Parts: sequence; C-alpha cells; structure tokens
Amino acid sequence: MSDLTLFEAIDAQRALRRFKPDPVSRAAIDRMLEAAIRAPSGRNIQP
Amino acid sequence: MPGMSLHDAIQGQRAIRRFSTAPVPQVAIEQVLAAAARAPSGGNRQQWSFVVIRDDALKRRIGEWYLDGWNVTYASDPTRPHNATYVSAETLAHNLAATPVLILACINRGQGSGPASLSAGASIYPAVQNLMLAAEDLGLGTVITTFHMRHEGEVKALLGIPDSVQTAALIPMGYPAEGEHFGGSKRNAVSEFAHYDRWDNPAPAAR
Repeated sequence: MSDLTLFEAIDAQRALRRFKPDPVSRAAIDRMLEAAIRAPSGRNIQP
Repeated sequence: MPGMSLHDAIQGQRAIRRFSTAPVPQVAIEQVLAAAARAPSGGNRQQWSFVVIRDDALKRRIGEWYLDGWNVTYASDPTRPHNATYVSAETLAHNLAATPVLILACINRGQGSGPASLSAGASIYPAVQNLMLAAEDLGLGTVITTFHMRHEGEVKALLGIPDSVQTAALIPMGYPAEGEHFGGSKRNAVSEFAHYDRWDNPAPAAR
C-alpha cells in the first residue's frame, strides 16, 4: 500500500460505508493524520 | 515526477507562488482535471465546474480584482506578518496575470440554495486537492487562493458563470520559477491538533 502511486490512489478512491469490526491500528491512524497535516491552509495557520 | 507515490506527493506538497512563463501543455491540464473528477462529492452529484483561464486579457482583469482583494485584506493591516509566505503571496498578488493558467473551481448549488456553507465545501475542496496533487506529480506548481472573492460577482460576469454557481477557489498553475521547489512546508505536530474520543484528550506526542 505504501507503494501506491498518486494516480492509482486517486483513480481508486471511493466512499466505503460498510466496515469490518476489526480495530484500526494506531500506526495507521497516525499515518493518516500525518498525511492530513501536509494539506494547505490559509497563510499556513493550520486552524 | 510522473508516477510518484501517494506518500511522496502528499509529503512534498507545498504552495508554489512564483511561476515560470513556460506554457502548460493541454495534456497536463486534462490530467489534473481528470484527477479532480475522481474526488468525492455529496451524493456523488459532482456539481463542480472548473474554468481554465489562459486568455491574457481575462487574466489581467482577474489579476486587478485579485490585487484589490489582497490589498484590502493585508495592505492596510498593521498586524500583517512579514515572513517569506507573506512576501511570496504579495509577489503573486502583483503578478497573477503572468501565471500561465488560472483554474477557477466552482460549485453548482442550484437556484435558491443560499450562500455556501462549510459543508458545501466538502463537495468541492477534495477535488481541488486532487487537482493540486496531480499537478505536483506533473511537476506543476499550484496554490489555493480566495482573494478573488471580494470581486466574485465581477469575476463571474466576466467569465459568463451562471448565478446558481459559486466560486470556491482560484488556483494559479504553472511550472515553478527557478529556485522554487516542492517540499519543505512547515506543519505542526499531530499531537498539537489530534484528539482521541474527547477534545480534552490530545494525541500523545510522537514516539
């Protein structure tokens, strides 16, 4: 999954609304949040 | 760098505000628009429109309004910051028309739907982010801006945009000027903004 290219990720993106009960690892949550903070925000104030 | 990983694209993303005058190929414009079209939107309604502005006269007129929006927001503000971001944003405000392409991201909210709310943004800003990441993959710089909003009605009239359509962001796009590079944007640590279960339960600092 780390090898996913940007265009593969964009093409494959879709809403998923039914989930397994399996827990989501803390490492996965951290990685998603680390991606979130790279996004732009006005004057980079990261509100 | 075409074919870059999702991770590298996200980590390398940064605002590019100084552009080369090199033209942007039509195929690249089509690729960033195709990436935008993969984004989620409420009910998958895809009520977005993107106006690709390349005409010099149109860019000049929009540039005047953009500069006015910039001046009203910052030039008279004694508390305005004077850091590298401010200086490069000021440079862009004075040179917007020289950017090879301006992309105006719009959302069609229908007649009588009232002013846009934050939740309406959920149906357009993911597409904008896709567009900007795809641009980076193609070596094209972008920056998300909203200074045209002060003159949104005039911008819409100039471009023939219907009343029922609202503009969401103006995205200058071009190859980065010499000395401008992707990467290196500063961000706060996750522990400073993430909360688990309750606001008063912050994420632990990185291990």
